[in-house]
Amino acid sequence: MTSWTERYLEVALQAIRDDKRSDVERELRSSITDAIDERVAAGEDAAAAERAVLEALGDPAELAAGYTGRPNYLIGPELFPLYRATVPRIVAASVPIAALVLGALTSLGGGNLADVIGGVISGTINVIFQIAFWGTLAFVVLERADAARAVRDDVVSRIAPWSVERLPKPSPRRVSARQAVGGISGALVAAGGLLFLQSLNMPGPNGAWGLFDGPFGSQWFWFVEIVLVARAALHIVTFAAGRWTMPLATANAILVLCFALPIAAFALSGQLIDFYFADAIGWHGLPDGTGLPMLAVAGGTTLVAALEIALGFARLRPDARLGSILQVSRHSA
Amino acid sequence: MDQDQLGNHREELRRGTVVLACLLALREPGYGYGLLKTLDAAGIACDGNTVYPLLRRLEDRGLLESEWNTEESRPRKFYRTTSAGSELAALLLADVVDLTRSLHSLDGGTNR
Repeated sequence: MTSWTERYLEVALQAIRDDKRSDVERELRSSITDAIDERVAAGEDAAAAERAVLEALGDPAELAAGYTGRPNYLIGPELFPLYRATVPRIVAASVPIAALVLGALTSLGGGNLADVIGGVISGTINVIFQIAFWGTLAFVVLERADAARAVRDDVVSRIAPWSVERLPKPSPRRVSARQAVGGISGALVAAGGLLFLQSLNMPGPNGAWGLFDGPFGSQWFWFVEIVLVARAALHIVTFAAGRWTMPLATANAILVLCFALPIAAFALSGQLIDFYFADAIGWHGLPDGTGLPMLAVAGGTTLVAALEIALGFARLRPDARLGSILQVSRHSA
Repeated sequence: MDQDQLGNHREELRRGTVVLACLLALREPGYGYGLLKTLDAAGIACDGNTVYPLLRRLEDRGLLESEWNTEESRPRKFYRTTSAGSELAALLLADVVDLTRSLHSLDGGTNR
């Protein structure tokens, strides 16, 4: 017997349990030899016959999967609904949190704004991949590992049969006029408030000093103003469209980050409030990024931004809740 | 008619009948390759990579029993349908007959 068959058997038998391997090998070997013999008896060349028989038998890994009953897929149909209901949601929920926390941390490190934004983008992408990878891996292990069989059976037994409660709500909620007016006026009040703060002046050593005369005022104040006006426009568009859609909620999240990240970053790096202005009003520690006022500004902005982003996606579609997929109560022993 | 599509539908249609075919054929003891030939001759083409693992699974479930025959020049594992296997085969065969009749009646009896 030449090497093709030996190599084929080696691959096919690898995954077979020890106590069954020699029996399966003996049987497969005789089946293969039977088939080769018949082709040779019909006048075929021995090497060509062997090749044809093995290729007809197909990928040895697939043959082995037939013997072991081990799945040829990563996550099977029983666990997939749970997988789809959890991992993408955890990833989605962690994106705004990761972006804001990373923004705060990198700006505490005292880098310039380009570094902060670059760090936030690459760090957030990293977080997405990490959670998606480890979350998927956990499900793959649960699906395939022999040691996890008991856990897997328990999880599968808790997955409730599909019921009508899992249907999405009949129609996405309409945006009410009150919600739209609230959103629009919120953005405009914030824009106006910032304009008012910017107009504050105090007589200083070399003339009048504005509250935002530091790096924030010269580079980013108008950017933040434009972002706020854009948010008001977004609320108008959403009202006209009648409901929040994925693109609108995503645009909302980006605009909120464009507003919150510069303010939090400048506050933490001590560059939000001009320090001549602080001297003039007699509060010397006010602009300090490690002082309580600026920490409060950064923390408050982060918190509000996280809420705004979460709210945008929550209004998207009140989907089936995890509780209706997992029957926790039935097994609460 | 798209040959690929025809092939896919045929495969789908036959997948469920391989078990029945094996249980029926092995009421006479047979070994792996011999069974493939028997099924092929009966007009039921199957691949070894489907049938060989299937025989093991049916044996594990008590529908087939097996015995090594070492008397001939080449040792072969012979399978035979158990009484539980025969019982199951009879039920499945009745289902297939019913199903064929139902399909004919859906066809409006135009099929000769």
